[in-house]
Amino acid sequence: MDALLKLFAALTVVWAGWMYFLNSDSETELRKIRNELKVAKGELGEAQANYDAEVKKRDTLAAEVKNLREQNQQLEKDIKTKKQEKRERAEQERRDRMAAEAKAREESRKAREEQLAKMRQEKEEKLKREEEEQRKQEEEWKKQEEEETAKYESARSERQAAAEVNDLQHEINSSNEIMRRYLTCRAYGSGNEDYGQIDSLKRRWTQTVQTCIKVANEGNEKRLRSSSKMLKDTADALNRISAGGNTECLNDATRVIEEAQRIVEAKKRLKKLNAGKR
Amino acid sequence: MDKDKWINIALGVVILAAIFSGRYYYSQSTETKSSIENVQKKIDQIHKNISDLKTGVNNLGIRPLTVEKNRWERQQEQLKKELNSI
Repeated sequence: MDALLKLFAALTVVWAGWMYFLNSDSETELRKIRNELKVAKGELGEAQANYDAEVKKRDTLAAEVKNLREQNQQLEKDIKTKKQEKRERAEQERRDRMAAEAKAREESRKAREEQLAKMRQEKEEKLKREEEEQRKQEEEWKKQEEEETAKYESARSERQAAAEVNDLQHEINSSNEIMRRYLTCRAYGSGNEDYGQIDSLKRRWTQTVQTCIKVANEGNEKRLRSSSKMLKDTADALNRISAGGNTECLNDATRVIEEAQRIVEAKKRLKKLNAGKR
Repeated sequence: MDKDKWINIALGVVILAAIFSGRYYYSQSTETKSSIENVQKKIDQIHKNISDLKTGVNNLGIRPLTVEKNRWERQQEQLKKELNSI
């Protein structure tokens, strides 16, 4: 009984000691784990602080990003506005420049037109003056030419008239000689002719010859033509009168006729000379 | 007789003391273990919270915001240059 009691007491003590050991070990572990808890709390605090700091940093970054975005948007607006202003300014400058160029062109055109008009007017005036001078010169030349021509024609007519007069004088002298010989021949011929008619013809002949000389001296073609016709008529009358005469008288009358024809030819030459003179 | 009696009494006292002290230490040990478990749970929770905080920090998007901020800053420099150049 005693031994059993002792054994029970010993077991009880051992059990109690084991419990004490277990308790002390648990308390040690509890202290250890409480330290770990403290450390974890510290880490948690740090993590929380870090998180808060990161959140704050994130908020700051977000605010900065927002500000930057707004600033950039404002900058873009400013750039757009400035570009628009620059374009408008350039457009205005371009319009002003074009207006100035157009004005300058207009002024240049007006000046050129005025200059052209002035030059045209000066040219017209010059041309007019030249035409006037030319006209005056031509008139002067024409006048001089007319004077020279008149002078030349006058001299030529005089020369021609003198030549014609000489020719006529020669022809008239010849005709007078023929007439004298004819009259002599008739005086000593058949004596059957009308002397009165012969005398009339003689006067007429003489008058005609004088007229021819006068006309030739004046250079009047029309009167010369008329006188030549009278000479021809006279020659024809003489020819008719001599139809009943002798052969010699007839030959003389024929020569008178030929001389009269030569006077007509002289008239034609005078006409040609006048035509060439014109 | 007396000696044995006293010995027995002493043994009884020892036994009783051992029983009570063992019981005490047992209960204390049980409470301590319970406390340890609770503390361990707290520590685990704290670690989880720390992990969540770290994850939250990573998910805050600071890096993209930093990249975006740098991009906006570069763009702002370009815009300022462009603005000055006009």
